[in-house]
Amino acid sequence: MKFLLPCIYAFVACFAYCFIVNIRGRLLLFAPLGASIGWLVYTLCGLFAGDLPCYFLATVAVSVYAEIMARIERVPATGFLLIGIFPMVPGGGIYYTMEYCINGDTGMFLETGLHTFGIAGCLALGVLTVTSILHLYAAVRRSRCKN
Amino acid sequence: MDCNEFLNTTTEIAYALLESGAEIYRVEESVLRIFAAYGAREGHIFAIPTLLILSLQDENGKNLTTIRRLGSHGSDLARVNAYNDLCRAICREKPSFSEIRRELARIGRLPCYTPLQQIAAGGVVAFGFALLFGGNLFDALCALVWGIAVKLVLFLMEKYHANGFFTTIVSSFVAAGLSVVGFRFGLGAHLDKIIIGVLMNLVPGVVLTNVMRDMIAGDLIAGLTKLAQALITATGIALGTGVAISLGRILLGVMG
Repeated sequence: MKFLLPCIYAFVACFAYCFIVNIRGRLLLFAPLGASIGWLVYTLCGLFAGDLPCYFLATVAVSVYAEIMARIERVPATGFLLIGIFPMVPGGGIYYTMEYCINGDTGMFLETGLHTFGIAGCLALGVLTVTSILHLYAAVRRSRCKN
Repeated sequence: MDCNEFLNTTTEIAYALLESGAEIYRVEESVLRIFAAYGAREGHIFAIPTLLILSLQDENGKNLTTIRRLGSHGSDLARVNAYNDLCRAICREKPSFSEIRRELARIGRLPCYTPLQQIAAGGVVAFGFALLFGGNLFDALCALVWGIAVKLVLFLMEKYHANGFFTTIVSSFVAAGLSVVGFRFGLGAHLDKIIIGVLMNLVPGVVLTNVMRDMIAGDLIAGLTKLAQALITATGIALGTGVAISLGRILLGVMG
């Protein structure tokens, strides 16, 4: 239950966010499901590692899910990716950075600010890894087919 | 083939894609494929989030070029999917230009969620994220109400075409301000969870994902433009929330 509840929360929040970027039909269920999977990986990974590797692995999971669903549903992967990553966008990071700034705690301000950038970097790295490997795989397969 | 008409139609497609929030490489690749399908000579396209340049040569070797400027635009994934399908169909079947224009007009008329639905969705987004980030049910219900209020403010500001940075500052000020005032009068148990939940309506999540997609595809100018947008939005959120929280501390003595 400890792991399941946050996934349901993520599903609800991301389901609602689908209405803001105009996602319709069956994708309205499949896109938020990616967010739940991502958050599940994030929490499970948190048992073993610090939070930056967690963000990375969760993004990898979301990207893989997005690419698979894109092939099944024959739509661009963007929608799945966008909704799936959304819970990991560092809204809290922005808030706590700002709070330390107001408190005049420069040390914590810098640390939290850099950590927020670190999270964004991990998200980027996760997406990059999956997309680049897929591109490479597609290119290798195409050149094999030609020969 | 009327090259002028062809160029105009292709520009319409590219414009529609870009305006719906498609990635740069999707816009450029779609147009290049359509050029190739119709056998255009020297067909080229350059796209960044705010500008489109398309160029091709007619039978006599005369160059035709169009430029289109775009304002700020959001994301509409149902339309991106529909335009994407249209581009594939065009490359496969090579329909007449009037037929393509009819299809474009049809996709343009596809439904959007009504403002009321979107405002309600904004509330549920805040509700879900307040719970996800560790707030209790009471926090989440407060976030739900403040989320709806923030969405209303966003809609009003957009209706009067307020500048994006200013819109972000004002909406995040309203988000944090309502939360602080509510908290002062006993609404909510964790101030930070409520505010972060409501702020998730404003964070540049869509833009951030697009930055990654563009950068990975090698569209560095587009990526940098959107990165600047994401950073400006994040700064706006910090400024608006910061002012509200400082005022809350000074005037109401609220320490979250």
